[in-house]
Amino acid sequence: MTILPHLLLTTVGVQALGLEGKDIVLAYGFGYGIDLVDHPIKLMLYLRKNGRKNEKNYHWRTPLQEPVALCWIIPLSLYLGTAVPVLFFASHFFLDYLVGYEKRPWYPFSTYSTEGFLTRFSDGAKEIWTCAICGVAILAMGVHQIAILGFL
Amino acid sequence: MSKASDSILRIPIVVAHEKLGLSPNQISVFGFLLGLAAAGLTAAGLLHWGMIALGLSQIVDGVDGGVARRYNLQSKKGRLLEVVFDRLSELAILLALAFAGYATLMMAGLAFLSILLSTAVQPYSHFDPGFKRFIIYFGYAATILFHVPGFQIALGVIFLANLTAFAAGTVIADYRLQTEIDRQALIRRENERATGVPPQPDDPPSFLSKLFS
Repeated sequence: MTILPHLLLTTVGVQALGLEGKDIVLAYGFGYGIDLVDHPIKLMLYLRKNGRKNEKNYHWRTPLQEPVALCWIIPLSLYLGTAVPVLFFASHFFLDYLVGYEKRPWYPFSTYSTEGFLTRFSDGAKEIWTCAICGVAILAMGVHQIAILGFL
Repeated sequence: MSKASDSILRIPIVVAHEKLGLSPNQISVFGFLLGLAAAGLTAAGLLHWGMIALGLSQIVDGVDGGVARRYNLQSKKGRLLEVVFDRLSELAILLALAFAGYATLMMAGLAFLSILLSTAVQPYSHFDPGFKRFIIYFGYAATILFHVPGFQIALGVIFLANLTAFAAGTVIADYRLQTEIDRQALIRRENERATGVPPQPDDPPSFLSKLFS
């Protein structure tokens, strides 16, 4: 998915779990920031093959944002003593697997590739629905918090 | 250990094979037993002797590979045996450090898990951070000289270095695959152009490319 749904879903998660301090940094890092590290790695390859032309099906993800990354993110979470990296990384690849382009979930240990799930629905519709649901959730939680503050 | 260590270990390599008649696999078994002895001594509270035995096992670990390379006795079985023995002796020393109270069991477990992960990806990435036992020696020095929890810190360094090696290894392997896929796609495109086959239609422009065009 594009940047916006990731950003909104991460914000929903941060609000819903009431995260603070270091956990917020981890949440945005693994829920959203991983894209900013991952895609530039393959940017050179993309530009070399396609130039500035848009090629939607170009595989410009790396294993940093595939489920295989859980192999290092779960131990890292144990080391840090918080489940936030695992939860927000899972939310990140959940959104990515909603849209239909090629992904290699277990590379380099398996060459299996998939287009994700709910492939019969349009990617655009899924993005809009995700943004709408997350937007409503953020507003609802915001209003709820304002109401609590008002009563205090 | 690598070819660089062969010149340093030239004398033990020659003695082990030519004088004592040992094969690389026999030397690997001896090195593994020394590693287990190091773990046993450390767990028993004899830390100094444990570290000396660990250092000796590391030297022997370099000799087996050196013998294999010098006398052209390299084999797949030998390489596998060396990796298995290395991992088992690392597991033993990490557990020994936890048992003796120099590190937590959690930290020892995480360090070993990260070593296993970097070993698993190494055949694809050809990238090994190495230096695991050297970090343990630094931990030992820090514990003795500065009275800090040196082994706990050392295990943390081993954990983070190997975890990074695993993550970087998966990216390196994927980058290589993508480079090859792109190379073949360019060759195919050139062939299509040469034979006059009409090119595939391009994807429609994305929302972002429309926005910024």
